[in-house]
Amino acid sequence: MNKTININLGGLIFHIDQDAFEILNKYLNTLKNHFKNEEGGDEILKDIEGRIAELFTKKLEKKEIVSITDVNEVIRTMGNPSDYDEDFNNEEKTDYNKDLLKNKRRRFFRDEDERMIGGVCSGLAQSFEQNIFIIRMIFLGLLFIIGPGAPFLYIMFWIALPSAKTTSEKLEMKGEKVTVKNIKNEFENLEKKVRDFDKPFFNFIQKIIDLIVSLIKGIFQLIGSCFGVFAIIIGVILLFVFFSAINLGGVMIAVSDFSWWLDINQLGQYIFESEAIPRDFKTGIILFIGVPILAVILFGLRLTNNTKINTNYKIGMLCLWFVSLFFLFNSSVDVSKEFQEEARNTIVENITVENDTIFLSMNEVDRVFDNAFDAKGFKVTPFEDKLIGIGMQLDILKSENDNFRLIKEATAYGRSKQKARKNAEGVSFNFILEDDNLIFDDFFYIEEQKLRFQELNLSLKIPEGSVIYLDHSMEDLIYDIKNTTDTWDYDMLGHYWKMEKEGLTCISCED
Amino acid sequence: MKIENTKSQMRKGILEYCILATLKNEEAYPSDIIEKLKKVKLIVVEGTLYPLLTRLKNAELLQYRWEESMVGPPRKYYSLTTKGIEFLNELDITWNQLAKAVRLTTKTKKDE
Repeated sequence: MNKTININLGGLIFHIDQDAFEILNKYLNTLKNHFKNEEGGDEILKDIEGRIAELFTKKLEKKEIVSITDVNEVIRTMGNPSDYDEDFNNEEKTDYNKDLLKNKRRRFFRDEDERMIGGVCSGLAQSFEQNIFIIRMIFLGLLFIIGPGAPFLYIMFWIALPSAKTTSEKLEMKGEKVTVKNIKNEFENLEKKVRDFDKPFFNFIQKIIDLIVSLIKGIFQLIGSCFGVFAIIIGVILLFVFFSAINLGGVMIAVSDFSWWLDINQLGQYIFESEAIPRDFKTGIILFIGVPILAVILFGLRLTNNTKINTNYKIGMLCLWFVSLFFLFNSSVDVSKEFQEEARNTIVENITVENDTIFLSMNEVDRVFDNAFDAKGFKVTPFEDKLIGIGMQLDILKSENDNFRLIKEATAYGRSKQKARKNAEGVSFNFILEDDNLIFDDFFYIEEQKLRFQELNLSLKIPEGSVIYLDHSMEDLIYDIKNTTDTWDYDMLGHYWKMEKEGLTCISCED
Repeated sequence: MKIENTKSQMRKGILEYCILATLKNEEAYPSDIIEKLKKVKLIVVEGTLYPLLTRLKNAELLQYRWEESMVGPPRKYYSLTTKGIEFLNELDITWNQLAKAVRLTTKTKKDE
């Protein structure tokens, strides 16, 4: 609750809070004192009172009582006597702006007076005390580095930074830098405040509370600013990474699990039927990731610059994000159609060998495939810019006749039956036969270069009485081979196995 | 020699000239003048204007009439007196000479 007082200012009646009144009264007395020796001093004072009354009237359009904030704001607009002292010969005279700048933190604004688009660059130039041309060049440079990210960044600043409309805002734009020296000054001021307590006319308790409040406020502001700067930096980096990923087709990032994912273009080409990534998906992913990044940067700007973000923008951003979900949903429905039909393609290849014993091994065993995409036995990986399959499995069965045969059974999906069959036919697998050595490739080719859940099951059929040797390199290839001793796949490696009537029997194992 | 001092002196004469110039062909009340001068950043605090207006009036360069306002206290509408018009015309000439002088003296060798 606050006591209000009625005052007559410039012939108008105002209700004013008591504390506000005291400040106003003190201010007007200062002015009176200042103009007392001047010819027409009374008139000047009356004019100023009239102007203050006018400013109050404007402020009271929505409320009834003049508050302390209103008074302080009006005093700032009108200025202190020292600001318009016309005695210019006085060497001690400071210029108009200096007092206003004191203890005022620099804030960022857009400068619409010198704008080319939105006044972002000119505002930043004023705040950083740089040539506007340099700032614009930096932005143009950014355009080459992060492409569409630069306009994105620009628009974001446009939204976040208020335009410097009033003179005091224009000054704040060039306000004191937040430097260590300034912070030190703040503390010295605090110290002075503490010393002032000795003076008996100060309300001790009031001052203590003021001090604590301003101290806590200061600490929170500092933490907020640091966090805000952090948020901006993180946001800008993310923006940079994200847009580079979209434009250049991937960013080199040390985390290997991550690099496959970031390669949006490549991933898109493998998934979508069309050569280029569909616009729906691209728009969706840009909004889906871009909007949260934008939100982080705006949040950071809000913390550091104390800028209020208009609620409409917040709602707008939320809407955009939901729109992105719609786009993504749309394209995922489109993609899911590519997996509607399944088809199988079987190729039987006869293998002619001289002897009854053959040695099975796999090629290039030292090769490690990074970034493999693995799902339910289906395994593909981009290798040397090609999409290849690596998830094939080999079984060894008894042949119905006297021939060695390799049966390659490929399955794949597609939008239609024909498309699925074509995808299955696009799977090809190679091996080489050198004397008695049968060497399998460690991957299969995917001709279509599309990711359509291609799977390859291999069965090697060997006639009764023949012997195979399983090299250790076969570890990843063999899968659930039936044998008479129910030996695990891994334990079958490094041994000779003979195809008996009952099935595969180990002939080199010790009991 | 302080830079603020020099700046203030430069500003002072120009400020008076600009106030007279805004009233050249029309009358205006202080808020109008404030708007204009603030826009071009010639004044920062509004209080600067009132002593100047009173002084110019006392020097018989300006006159004013009262007009009731719908939204606030009555307003003083200022206009130039005959003496004020002559004064302004002379200032116009002086300004042009000064501007030319400044332009010519600050011109660098490169520009020539």
